[in-house]
Amino acid sequence: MSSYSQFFLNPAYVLPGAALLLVPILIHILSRLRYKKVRFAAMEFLLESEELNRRRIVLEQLLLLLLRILAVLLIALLIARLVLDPSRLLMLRGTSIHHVVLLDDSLSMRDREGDATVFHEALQTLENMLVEGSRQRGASRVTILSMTDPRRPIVSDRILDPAFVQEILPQIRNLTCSWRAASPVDSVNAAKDILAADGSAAPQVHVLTDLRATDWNNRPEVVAALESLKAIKASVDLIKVVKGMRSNVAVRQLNAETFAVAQGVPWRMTLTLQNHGLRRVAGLRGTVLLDGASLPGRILIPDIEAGAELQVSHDIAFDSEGRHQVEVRLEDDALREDNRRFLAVDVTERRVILIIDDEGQQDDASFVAAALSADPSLTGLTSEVRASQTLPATNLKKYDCIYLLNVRDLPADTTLLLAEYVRSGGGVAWFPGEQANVQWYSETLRDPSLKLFPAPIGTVHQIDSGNGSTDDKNLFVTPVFEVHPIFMVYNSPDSPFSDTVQIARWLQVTDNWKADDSERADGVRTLMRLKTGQPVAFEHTIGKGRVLTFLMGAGRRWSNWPVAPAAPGYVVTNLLIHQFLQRPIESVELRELSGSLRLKWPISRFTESVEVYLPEAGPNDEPVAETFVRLQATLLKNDDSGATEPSTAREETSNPRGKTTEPELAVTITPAERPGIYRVRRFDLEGRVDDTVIALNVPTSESALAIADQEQITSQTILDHVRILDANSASSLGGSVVGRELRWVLLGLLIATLVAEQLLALRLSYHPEVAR
Amino acid sequence: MNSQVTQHLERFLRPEEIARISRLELRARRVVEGFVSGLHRSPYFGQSLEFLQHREYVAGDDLRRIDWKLWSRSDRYYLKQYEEDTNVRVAMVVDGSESMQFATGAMSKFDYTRTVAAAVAMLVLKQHDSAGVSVFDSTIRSQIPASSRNNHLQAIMAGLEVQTAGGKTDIYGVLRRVNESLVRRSIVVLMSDLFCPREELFKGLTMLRQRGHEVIALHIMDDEELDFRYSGTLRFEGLEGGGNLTCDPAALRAGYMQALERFLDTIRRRCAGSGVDYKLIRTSDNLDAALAHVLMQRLKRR
Repeated sequence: MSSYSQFFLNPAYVLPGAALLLVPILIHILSRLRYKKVRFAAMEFLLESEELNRRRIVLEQLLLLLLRILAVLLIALLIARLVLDPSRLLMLRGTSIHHVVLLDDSLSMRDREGDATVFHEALQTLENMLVEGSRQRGASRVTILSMTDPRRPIVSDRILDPAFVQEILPQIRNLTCSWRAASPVDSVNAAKDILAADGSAAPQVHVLTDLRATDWNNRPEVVAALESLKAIKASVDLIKVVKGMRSNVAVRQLNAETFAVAQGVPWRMTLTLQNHGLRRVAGLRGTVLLDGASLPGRILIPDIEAGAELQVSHDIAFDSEGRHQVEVRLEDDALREDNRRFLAVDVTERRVILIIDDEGQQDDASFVAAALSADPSLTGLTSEVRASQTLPATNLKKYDCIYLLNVRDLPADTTLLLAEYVRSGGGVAWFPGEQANVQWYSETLRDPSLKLFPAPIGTVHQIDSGNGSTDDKNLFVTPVFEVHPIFMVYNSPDSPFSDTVQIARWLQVTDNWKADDSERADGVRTLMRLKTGQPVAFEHTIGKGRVLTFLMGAGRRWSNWPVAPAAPGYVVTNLLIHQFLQRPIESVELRELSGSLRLKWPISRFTESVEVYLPEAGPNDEPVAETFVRLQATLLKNDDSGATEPSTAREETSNPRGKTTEPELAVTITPAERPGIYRVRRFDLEGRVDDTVIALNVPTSESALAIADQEQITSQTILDHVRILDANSASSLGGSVVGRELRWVLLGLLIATLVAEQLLALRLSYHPEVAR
Repeated sequence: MNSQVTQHLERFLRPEEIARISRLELRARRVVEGFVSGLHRSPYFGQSLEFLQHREYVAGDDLRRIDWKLWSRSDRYYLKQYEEDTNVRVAMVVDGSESMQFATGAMSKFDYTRTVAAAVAMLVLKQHDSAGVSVFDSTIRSQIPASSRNNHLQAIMAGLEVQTAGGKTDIYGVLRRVNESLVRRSIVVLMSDLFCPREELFKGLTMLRQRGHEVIALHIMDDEELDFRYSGTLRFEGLEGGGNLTCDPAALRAGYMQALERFLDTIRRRCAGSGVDYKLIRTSDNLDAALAHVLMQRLKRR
């Protein structure tokens, strides 16, 4: 193929067209050679005129000749169908264009403009494009992908003709917008794969999107995906279907310290709100719905500055036991879906704490029990005080946390039970006491497989009052509290309690143990030091559980903590220790709508039969097809468990050691598409029912409705194949759009040339007035 | 005479009609008939021998003019003088040069000119005035002296008929010779396209005026020379050796018209300046235009 042919659709016409250029020149020469002879008398005047006008005539004749050549040239170009951009040529020459339409159905498309959502606008635009495209000549093919699920096409490679459009329009009108977040990257890559596999057609990608800044600006991965389309010579139209940005306030987060609470005890939830608008928002009210019925009190929300985030706490109490659904709802705004957030709370009559005290009198245990559950109706807590030998016969899972006071040592099986309890989320607080078996604590418990104890300990250090020192101040040491949730009462700068705690005895860490947390870097954090620098309290985690370690006893033999004037601090600290150590309950999960809702469990735990109760639709919601589904879990192959799905890391794998050996069952709850509370019922091998409640919320990333800076996208030179269009100016999915434009330009030029030629010729020739 | 007949007769004055008649004499007769019929009355014809005055005889006067009746009463010699006692002499100078051959309409300039000349001669002779004709190109080719004899018309016709145009114009020489040949004061009618050196022409015309002749210049031009409506590539070959030119005439038209206008303007101005009666006549004009112009001039002389 010669060099010029890439610029023409019909290169065969180029050479004959070039030859045609000779025609006006030949006519011109011939007309000069062929003349009539006239014998003329008044030559004198003629010669005079010729003398004067010779130069002008030559110029005019040349101009006329040029115009005629230009006209012929334009006709030749029209016939040969000139294409200025060879990269577009493929699109015109190919027998068909393959249009891939990416339909953004992420949550932000639910943004309302008047009555209709942006998504409806997008559907309308898509419909117009299809109808227009089906009217045009030239075979085009169409694939429609949704952004949230690009691997399952809505329409897969169909010929775009009126029959197809008639068939597909009802389906398109019934499409619904998802509640999920979606990045353009996956769908663009999916489009690229489809187009790359279909080499025969000219590729074109249309993205119907609301063009949110969060998805399109400053996203190198999006740019890379768009750039990769260039490699397959696809042109990209980003069709912006949203008209403008509206203000939006979103409930970013609804959370609580715990999802398990005792009946009648105030439960505090924390609400994170964000104003995504450009103006400050005032006078917002939030409604709390408990099991679908709204509570009388409203949440008063302070003014939120534009772009600012705000946290609001709200307390409610539950009247009855059981699983309760909590929903917080703001007044409707542009995007009403992110104004609601769900949570489930497991309410029991009391939360139970196990206190193990091996000291005969169990004095220390009574101090702790009194602090935690002096009045169970106020704290919602009861404590059971036992000795360590009862541990193996106890179901530890029913306890929120375990205090281990004055334990000398424990048998190996009990230690293992304890370790598993912590790993699965339980909390343990150590107060070793003077009879502690230092070796057991320092070595057995610190075995790498257990890691139940943070530091090696040695002797008890006692400030002896009888060693001749007369200075009272030497009898005890005041501790320094690090900033930590359990020391909230001491952390505030004007706290009256911080100096009241006086410690007289403590277990010393061994000398060779490094006291600096960052230097040691073993995950153990020092929470409390004496003023001498001696550490006396630590925190560390094992698996999902937490361990708090105090290198002293819980009673008054060691410090004045449980007694006045330090006692109020002691009570509060113990309540906070319970809150900090509280075992997260497995039966409530808080998730965001991203990916599919998938559950996994070891095969020994539950059978494969799963029943799911879906949330019911509210009055303003789209209707729900079904509220209950029965699913079958499938056996998961070991090699694809875990790693492939990071979002399901918090699965109930109660036996981490068995993970490698025991096969797992998994189920994907496909109907879980909308936000709400999902109740999943499973059955263990004995047939007992186990209910898990999953609060599924909309993703926070979709609430920012700011529209992307178009300049920033199109100004990048690597994206020169990308155009941004408005919904109104979006071109149809038709044939050779670019070629047609060029044709019109050439045709216009031709007409202009012919008009100019005629005008010049008229000027150059003599036309007598019409004879009377 | 009703107007229908008048129109019918007027037809004979159109060049395209006249051109169909081959004999010059017949042509002239047609023209004259058409011309005369168009007039409502003919006050200009017949001899005007109206008495003007008496004058005492002086030696040398023609004895035939003496009023003998007055002599018988008064015994004195008086001459009887009339208002016009001499015939008008019309000397027509017809251009027969090559440029007069040019023709685009029914008649060439030369054809037109000699038809006009013949008609004028016929009219003049009818009035018993005398008419003469000279045809020239570079020199005078033929010269029919003025005469008022009845058969003189035949001589004039023959003189005009045989001449075919050719040669280059030497206008001054021609006019000088005409001047020399005219003994009495005459009306000199120059019929030409005036494509000749301007200064010589005016020198000749001025000379004729100085000799007391009445000079009428009938400027005969072809339509195309005046309007220049040519188009398409043409090769113009000059008559009288004017040179050749291949051109697109439409492009040159404006310049041509300007040059022509200057030429006509010069002639008009100079003729007026030297008392020459000038009339531009197209070969497409009806032939009576020329006749009327000449006869008007004849009336002025009465």
